[in-house]
Amino acid sequence: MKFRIRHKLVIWMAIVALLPAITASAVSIRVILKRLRGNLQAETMQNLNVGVNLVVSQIETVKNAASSLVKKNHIHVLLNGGELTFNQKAQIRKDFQNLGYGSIQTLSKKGEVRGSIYLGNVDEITTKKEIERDYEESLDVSRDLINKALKDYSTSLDIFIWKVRYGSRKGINQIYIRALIPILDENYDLKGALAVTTVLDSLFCQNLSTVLGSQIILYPIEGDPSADFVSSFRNTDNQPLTRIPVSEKNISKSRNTHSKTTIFESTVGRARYSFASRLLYNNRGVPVAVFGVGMNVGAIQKGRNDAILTIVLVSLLALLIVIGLASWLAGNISRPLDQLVYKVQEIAKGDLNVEIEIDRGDEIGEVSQSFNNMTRELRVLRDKQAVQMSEIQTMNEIANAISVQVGLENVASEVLNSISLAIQASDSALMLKTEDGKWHCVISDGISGEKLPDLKYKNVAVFKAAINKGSFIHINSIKKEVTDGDLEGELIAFPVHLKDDYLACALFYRNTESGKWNDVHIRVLNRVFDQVGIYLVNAQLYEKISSFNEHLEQMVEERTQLLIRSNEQLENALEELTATQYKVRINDRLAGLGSLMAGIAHEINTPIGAIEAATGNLSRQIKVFLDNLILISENVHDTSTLTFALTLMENFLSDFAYTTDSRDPDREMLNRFVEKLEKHGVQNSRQTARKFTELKAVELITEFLNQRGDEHAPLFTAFILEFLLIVKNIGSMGRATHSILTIVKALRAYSHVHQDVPEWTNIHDGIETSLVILANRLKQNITIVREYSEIPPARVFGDELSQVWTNLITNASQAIEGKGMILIRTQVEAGDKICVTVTDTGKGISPDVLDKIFEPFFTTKKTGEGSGLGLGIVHSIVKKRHGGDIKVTSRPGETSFTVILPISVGTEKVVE
Amino acid sequence: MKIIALVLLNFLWLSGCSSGDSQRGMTRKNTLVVAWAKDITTLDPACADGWESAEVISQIYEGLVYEDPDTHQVKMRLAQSVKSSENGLVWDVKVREGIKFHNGMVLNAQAVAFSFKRQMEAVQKGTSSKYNCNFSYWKAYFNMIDDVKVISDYAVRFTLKYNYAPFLKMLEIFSVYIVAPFSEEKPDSLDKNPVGTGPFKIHRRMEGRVVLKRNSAYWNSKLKASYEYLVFQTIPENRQRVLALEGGQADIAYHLDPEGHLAIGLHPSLALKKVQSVNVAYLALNTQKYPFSIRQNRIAANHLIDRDKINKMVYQGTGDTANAPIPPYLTIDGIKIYKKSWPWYEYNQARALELFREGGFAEQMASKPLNLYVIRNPRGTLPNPLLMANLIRNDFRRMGIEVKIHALEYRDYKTALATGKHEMAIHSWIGDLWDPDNFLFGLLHYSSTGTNYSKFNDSAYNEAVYKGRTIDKPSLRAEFYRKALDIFKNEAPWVPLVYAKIVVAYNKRVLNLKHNMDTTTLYNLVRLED
Repeated sequence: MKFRIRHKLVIWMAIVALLPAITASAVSIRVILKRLRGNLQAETMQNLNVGVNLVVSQIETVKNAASSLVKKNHIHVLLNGGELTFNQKAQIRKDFQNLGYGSIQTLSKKGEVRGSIYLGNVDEITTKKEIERDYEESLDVSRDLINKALKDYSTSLDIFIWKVRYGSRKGINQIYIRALIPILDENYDLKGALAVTTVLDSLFCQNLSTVLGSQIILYPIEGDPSADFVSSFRNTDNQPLTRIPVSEKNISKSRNTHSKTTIFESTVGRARYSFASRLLYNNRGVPVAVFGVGMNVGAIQKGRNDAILTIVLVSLLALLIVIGLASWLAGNISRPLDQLVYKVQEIAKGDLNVEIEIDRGDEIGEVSQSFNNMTRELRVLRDKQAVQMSEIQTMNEIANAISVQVGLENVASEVLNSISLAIQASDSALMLKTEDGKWHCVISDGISGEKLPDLKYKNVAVFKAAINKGSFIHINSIKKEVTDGDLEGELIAFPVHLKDDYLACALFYRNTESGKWNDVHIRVLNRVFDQVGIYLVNAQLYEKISSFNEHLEQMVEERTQLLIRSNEQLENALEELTATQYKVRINDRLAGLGSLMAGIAHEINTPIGAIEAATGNLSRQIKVFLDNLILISENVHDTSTLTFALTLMENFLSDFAYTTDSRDPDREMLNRFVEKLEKHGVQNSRQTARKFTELKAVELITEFLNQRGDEHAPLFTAFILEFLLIVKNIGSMGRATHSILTIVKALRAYSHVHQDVPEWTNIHDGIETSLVILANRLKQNITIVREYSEIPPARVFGDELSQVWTNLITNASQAIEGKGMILIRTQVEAGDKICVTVTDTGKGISPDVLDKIFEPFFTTKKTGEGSGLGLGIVHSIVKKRHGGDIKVTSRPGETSFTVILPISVGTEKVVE
Repeated sequence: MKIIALVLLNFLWLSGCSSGDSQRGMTRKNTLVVAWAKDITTLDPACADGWESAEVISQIYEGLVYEDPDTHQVKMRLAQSVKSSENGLVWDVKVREGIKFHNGMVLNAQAVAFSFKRQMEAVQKGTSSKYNCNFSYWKAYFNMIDDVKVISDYAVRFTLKYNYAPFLKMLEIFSVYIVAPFSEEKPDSLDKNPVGTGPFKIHRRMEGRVVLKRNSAYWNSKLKASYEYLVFQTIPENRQRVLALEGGQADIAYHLDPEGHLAIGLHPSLALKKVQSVNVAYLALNTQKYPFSIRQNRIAANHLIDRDKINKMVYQGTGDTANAPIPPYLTIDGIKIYKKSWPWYEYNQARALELFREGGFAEQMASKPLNLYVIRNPRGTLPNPLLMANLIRNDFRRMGIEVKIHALEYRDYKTALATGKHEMAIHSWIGDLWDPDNFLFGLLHYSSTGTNYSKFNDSAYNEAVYKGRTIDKPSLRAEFYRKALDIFKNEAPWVPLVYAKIVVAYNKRVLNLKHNMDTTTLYNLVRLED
C-alpha cells in the first residue's frame, strides 16, 4: 500500500495522539467502572457476610439465653405449672430484651406446655395472651426437636416460618428462631424442656442495620413477599415501607435455591441500592428465608459519572489540538514536496532541461537547489558520454569482425576492411615482418593500396618511419609532406606491436575531400591496434600448429605398429614361460619323490631286517622247545604238571603285550627270585631270572614253582622260558610288519593326489602320515614335539593337506639343519577354524624376503637344492583349495608357519 | 502497522497490569487456615503422641506405606515394594527412587534405615532423655524389630524377632514416617526444622501457630496441593474458634463442642462433617490400685455409669455407646471380631452396689474419694471432657462415692497417669492402624506401659493378644481376639464409653475434604473454591 506524506502524517498523528487518547480514556473509564463496581460488590458481599454472621449470632444468643435460663431455679417453677411473680417475669424479659419480640415456653417430660412468658414490650393485655397462645401453637412445628430434647438430652436450634394466627399481624408468614434445650436437675436428670422463640421482624432488621451500616431485608422463601417481607428501610415519615423494594424478577432470582448469593441493584425511594442476598436454612438444611443486605450506591455513582465525564472532555480537547497541529504541518511540508516530486519525475523521464523554482530557506529549498545542480551536471556528462559511446561501439565492431577470422590473410584483410570502414579510408595496406626480418605487403585494398608501402616520408618508407618512431604517423597532406608520389590526401601509418616487437604496420589513405581524421579517429585506431598485434600473432601461430598436427598423426601411426609387434612377441614368451613353469613343478615333485623313496626304502629295510633275524631265531627256538617237550614227556609221567604249565602259558599268552622295559628290575626282588630258582635247582639261575624278569613272566614261573616245584622244576623252567622267547620273537615280527604296513599306507595316501570332494578327515592323522613319510629325515638330533589340542574332524582335501604338512615339516627340518626341535601345534580357533602351527628353532627367515616366500620359484636354498615351488604349492592348497590362510612369523630361533583351515570346506570344487 | 500494534499492546499491557494481582504471599485465596484447640507438642514423628502433632506431621512427612481409607488395603507410598520371607521374619523394602526431601537430600535406603534406627538405638541404649522424647510409639509397637539394615542404595531389610501379623500395616504409623537424616548431636533437629518428603514443608512456626508451605517439588505430581499455604492456628476457646470460622479467618475448625455445632449447622456458609474414626473413649480403672484392683469393684463401676446418657449428652448423638475396647466395625480382612449386639454390663445401680459389697468397697465408699483424671482441652474424640467427668462423678455420687476431678493439661495428665496417681482416667484412643492389635495389645497388654492406663496385666489376656499379633491367618487371629474380649469383659479393666465420630466444621469453600484412617486430614487434596 502506498501513502502520500500527508496521509502518513495523519496516520502518525492518529497513532501518537488519537489512538492513545481513545485507549487511555477507554481504559480509565473501564478501570473506574470496574473498580467502583468491584468495590461496591465486594463491599456489599462483605456486608452480607457480616450480616449473616450477625443472624447466626442472634441464633447463638437465643441459645445462650436459653442455656442460662435453664440453669435458673424459677424455670423449674414455670415447669411445674407455677406462676412467676411479676418481678421475676420482668427480670426474664429484661434479660431477654436484646432478642426483641418472642416467647418462652416450658414443656413437661411428655412435651406438654406448662408455662409461657412473652418477650418484648407489649402494651395490651389481650394481645399478650394472644401472642403467648400463638407461640404455644407454633411449637407444633418443632415437635421432633422437642422429642429429641426429651429423649436424647439434645439441644437444638432452628429457623422456621410460622403463619401468625392471632393479633394484628394475623395471616402473615413470619420468620422465627427457636432454641430447644432439655431441662435437667442438679443430678443431670431430665425434667422437661425449654423452648425460646424469637421473631425476626423489622425491629430485628433495624437493630442489625444499625450495627452493619447497611439496610436489611428479609422474606420467606415461599408465599407472598410483598406481604411477608420485613426490612430496615424507612420511608420519609420514618415508617416501615409498605411496598417491597425488590423487583419480582430479583425476588425469584434471590429465591433460587441453587445460587449461593444473588447480587442485584434496586431503587428505594430516590436512592439506588446494591443488594446481596443469600438463603437461610432450617436445621434440616431446607432453605426457609432470603436474607438481603443493601448498600446505597447513589453517592458513589455520582462520583463515578463525574470522573468519566472529565476524562472524556480532556481527551476530546487534546484530540482537537493534535488534529489542528497535524493539518497545518501537513500543508506546510507536503505542498512544496509535491512540486519537488513532480519535477523529479520530469527529470526521471529524461528531460534534463527542467529547473525547479522553489525559493525556500528550509530543507526543501536546499533539496531543490541541489536538484538543479545535479541536472546541470547530468547534462554535461550526458554529452560526453555520447561521444565515448560511439568510439566504444566502433572499436567493438572492429574487434568483433577481426576475432571471427582464421588464417593470417583473412585476419589481415579483415583488419584493413573493418578499420577502413570505420575511419572511412579509401585505400589501405598491411605490411608484415617475415620470420627472416624482411617486410612485405600482405594485403592491400583500394585503387592506390599497392602504392602505399612505397610512399616515402623524409626519405624513409612511411611505414618504416612509423615503426622507427614507435608510434603512428599522421600525414595531413601527402602532397606537401611526402617526397614522392602522386597521391593527394591524408595518410596514416599505424605500427602493430606485440609487446616490444613490431610485427606489422597498417597504412590508411583517403583523399582530401573526405575531410580530416581527428583525435577521435586516432584514439579508436590506437585502441584497435593494441589488439591487432595479438590477432596477427594468433593467426601466424594457428598456421604453424596446423602443419605440425599433420606431421604428428603420421608419427603416432608408425609407433602403434611397432607396439603391436612387440606385444605379439611378449605373448609368445609368456606362453613358453608357463610351459616351463609346469615342467619345473613336475620335476620338483619327481625330485621330492625320489628323495622320499630313498628314505622310505631305508625305513622298510629296518623292519624287514628285524623280521629276517627273528625268523632265523624262531626255527632254532622251536627246535629247543620241542626237545624240552620230548624230555618232559619222557621223564615226567604225571601229565598233570605239564597240563598245569601249559594252562599257565596259555593264560600268559592271552594277556601278553610285549613292551620293552628299560628299567632295571628291583634288585632285591631279583635276588629273592634268583634264590627261589636256585632252591628249585635251576642252573644259571641269575641269567634265567633276568630273562624272566625281562619277559615279565616272574609271576608265571613263581606260580608254577609254588604249585609244582618238584624235582622236575629245572626242566619245566627251561621249557617255559623257551616258550616265552618264541612268543617274544613273534611279537617282534608283528611289530616290524606293522611298521612296514604304516609306511605303505602313508605312501598310498601320499600318492593319492587329487581329490574331487572334501572328506571328513582327522587332521592329526594327516600330520602323523607326513611324519611317517619323513621319518628318515627327522632322525638324528631332531626332536618332534606334538602339542595337539582336541580338534574335531575337518572336511578337507586330506591328501593334499598331507603335501602341505610334508612341505612345512621338510622346510622346518632343513631350516634347523638336522639339529633342533620342530613343534607341531594344533588348535581350534573362533569355533569354526583349525590352526596348525609348525615351528622350528632354525636361524629364521630374513625380514626382507619374508613377504616373498609364498611366490612361486622363490627359494633361499642353493641352486639345485630346491625348485622354490614348495611354499607356493602350500599356499595354493591352503588358500585356493581350502579357502584358508597361511601366515608366517620369523625371528632367529623361532620360525612359525600357521595354517588356518575352515572346519568344513565348501562343497563346490575350488578351482586352482 | 507494526508500530500501531506495538503501541496498542503497550496500552493493553499497562491496563492489564493495573488490574492484575500483583501481591504474592499469604492471601485468602491461596491459604487454608485450620483452627484447633490445642497446640502441637513436637514435629518429630518419633516423639509425637497427640493427634494434633500427628496431623501436622502427616503433612510434612510420609510413610513407606499407607492405608487406603476406602478399601483398608495397604498401598505403597515411599516404598516401591515390600516383600516378606516365608516365615515372616525378614522384610525387604525397596525404596522408591527419584524422591527428594524438602532440603534437597535424596531419599534412599540410608534415610529409611536412619528413621527407624535412631528410635531403636535410643530405646536400646536408654538415651531417650537426650531427645526429650520417650519414643512411646516405638516402645509400644516396634520392639519386634531386631535389626534394620541397608542392603543396597534403595533397599532396606527389616529383621523381626518374631512373626508379627500386622507388620506391614505398622509401617504406616506416623512415628516411623521417613525423616531426612540429621546429626545425632542435635537431637531436636526435627522439632525445630522438620524435613520430610510430604506435600507440605515447614514455613514458619510460632507458639500456637504452624505455617506450612506447599512443596511444589512434591514427587507425586498428582497429589500436589492446589494452594500455597496451610496454617494451623491454636484457638483454645470454643466460641472464638467458631467466630474465626464464621468470619472467614479460619476455614476448618476442630475440637468444637457439640453445642457449638448447632449454630454452625444453621450458618449458610459453613458445613459440618462427621469423620468416622477407629477410636474408643473409655474410663480406665487402675487395676493396680484399690478399689479397682478388685475385679468386682471394676464390674460395679461398669454397672454404675450411665454410658448411654454420656453418649447422648456429651456427644449430642454423634457417637455410639461402646461395648468393647474396639469398635464393631474394626475387622481383620473383613472378619468381624464381635457382633454389635455383644452385651456389656447394663446400667444398674443396685447391681453396682451389690458388687461393691462383694468387692469390699461398700464400707469404705463414703470415706474414700476417688481421683478421676481427665485432659482439660476438648479433642475430637472427647468433645467435652469436663461434662463427661461431671456425669461420671454424678453417677458415683448417687452411690455416695465422692469423686475428685483433676482436669489437666495433656503433659501433666500423662505424667500423673505414668506415676499411677489415678484410680480412674478418662481417655480416648484413635487407632494408629486399622488392626485390633493396635487397641487390644497397645492399650491393654502389660508390656505397653506407655498406654496401658489401667495397668492391666492378665496372663491369659496377654497370651491371647500376643498370639493374635504373631499369627498370620486372619480367622485364627479373630479367634484369639474374641478370647481376649471375653477376658476383657470378665476382668473389666475399663468402662468403655463411646466410639466417637470426629466432627469437623468447615467453610463451604473448602472442597474435597478427606481424611485418612487415623483421622489425619488429606490437606493436599483440598481445593479452595473462589
